[in-house]
Amino acid sequence: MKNQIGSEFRKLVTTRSVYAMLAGLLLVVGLGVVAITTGGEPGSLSGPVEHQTFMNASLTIAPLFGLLLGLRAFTDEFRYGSIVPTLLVSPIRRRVLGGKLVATAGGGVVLSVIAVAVSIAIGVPILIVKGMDVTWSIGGLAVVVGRLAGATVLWTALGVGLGLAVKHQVAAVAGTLVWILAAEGILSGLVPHVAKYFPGAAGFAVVGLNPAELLTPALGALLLGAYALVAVALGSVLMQRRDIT
Amino acid sequence: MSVNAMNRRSIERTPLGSPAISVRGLTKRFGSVRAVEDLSLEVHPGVVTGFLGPNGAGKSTTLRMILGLVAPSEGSATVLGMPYRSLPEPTRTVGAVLETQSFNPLRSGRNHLRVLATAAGIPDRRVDEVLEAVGLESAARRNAGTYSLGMRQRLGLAAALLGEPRILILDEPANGLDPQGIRWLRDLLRGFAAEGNAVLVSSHVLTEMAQLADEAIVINRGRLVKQASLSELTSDSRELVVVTPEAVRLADALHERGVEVMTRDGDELHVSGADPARVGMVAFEIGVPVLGLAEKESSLEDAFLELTGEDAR
Repeated sequence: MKNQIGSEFRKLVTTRSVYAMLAGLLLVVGLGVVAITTGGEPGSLSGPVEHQTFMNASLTIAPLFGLLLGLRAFTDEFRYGSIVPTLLVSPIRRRVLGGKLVATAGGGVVLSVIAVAVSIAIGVPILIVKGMDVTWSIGGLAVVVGRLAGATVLWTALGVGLGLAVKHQVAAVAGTLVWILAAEGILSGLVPHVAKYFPGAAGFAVVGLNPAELLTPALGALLLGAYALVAVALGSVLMQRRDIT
Repeated sequence: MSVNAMNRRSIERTPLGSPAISVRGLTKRFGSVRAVEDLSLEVHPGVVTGFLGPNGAGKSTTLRMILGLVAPSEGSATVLGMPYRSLPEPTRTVGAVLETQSFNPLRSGRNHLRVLATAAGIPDRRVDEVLEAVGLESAARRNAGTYSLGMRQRLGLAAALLGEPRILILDEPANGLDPQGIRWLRDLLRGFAAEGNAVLVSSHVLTEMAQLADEAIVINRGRLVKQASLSELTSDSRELVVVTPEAVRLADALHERGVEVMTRDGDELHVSGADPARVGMVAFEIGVPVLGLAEKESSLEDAFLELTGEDAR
């Protein structure tokens, strides 16, 4: 199992698309932070750094990139046919799934930490230039980073499971993004009481966004974890029976 | 390249059990399509076994069932007596190349192999060894997507050799190789087999197979057509062209002695299933002059078509 995890980590760090994703994440988060901090009223920019609204850029975007990282774990292999050598070296398919879950979870933690670090590196100097008092607490920051990393890890697992079940990369990515970015938004207007139990809403609840309407972070994590578990179980069962032709 | 560099530890290794690969009553249905039907065959160490059949005959599906990628509908396929998925060290037992495109095109050939080596617990230095063995060391750091078809075949072969396996399974490995490449592959496979290892190599081109393999397993429409040595396969299909002014008399005489005359065209007889000496002796016995006696060159492909074509269905 250790070898399998090592192999999957190596796949992550030798795949160019992963670096392109990381660059994309930093760009989106950076622009978001700049927009919020330069455009915001002074009143909205007070308070400790970890509770500043500019942190929301990371909290919303990083989990989505975690999801993408998970979705491409298996769909890349099916797309390029590398699933064949992967399964020849590791014919026990659950072991491959386990390796990918651990490796993408690690990738998700790295994404989260980098996103928060970049947010602070860009946001704090802008606050200082605007003459704001910058305060923070290590404990508060740790909670924010911990929740973000936790949410992102759950998203990677959900992505790995869905990607394994769906197999087709474009279908998996497009379907998932349309659901989270469009369908959930529309449904939350139609059936607000049900919509907060959807995976996207549960994910946003984990990082503490919109606490008035969404679940508590703990409940959100439990629910998102359940979704991830179902996706991974479904993918695993399908994978076990699937012919690699 | 030397085969010893490829498989340095082979000398200390224990003899390989026989059969190396065993297929019993193997059947695979995809929906209503029967890709493989009640197929039984054995692959033994020490020789290169060719797996022959036209496109769509079920060769790839059979190889994938042997390798645990496709689940059989019925029957079994084992490697050294065990299903592939149960092998304790699959990479050190079997090396396989199934497709030419089986890597992320944006990953270098070297990193592709390193990823596989890590999963199998094989050190990185072995990656550089196999890259050298297949002659890819100068392209190792380039993205595999930029490789030519022949280089992709070599990368696949490098992956198969990573674990210094005892059994090689190659699906259409000669595709994309130039004549020199095919000779190189033949030397590699022959040397590998000569060290007591087993090779199963598929092809839909018989002339290609005649250069690579010793034994042949011929399938068509998912069923076994023939398992024989390659020389037997080609001698069965040997066709002679005899030129004589008394073609009718010679044809009758050959027919009486159980030699089949396929066609007569003026002074020319086409004879199958007999060697030139036999035909020459018959002509001598009945006192018919023979002006020409030659083996027809294209007979290998003809034999293959005959075995797998309309007549055999």
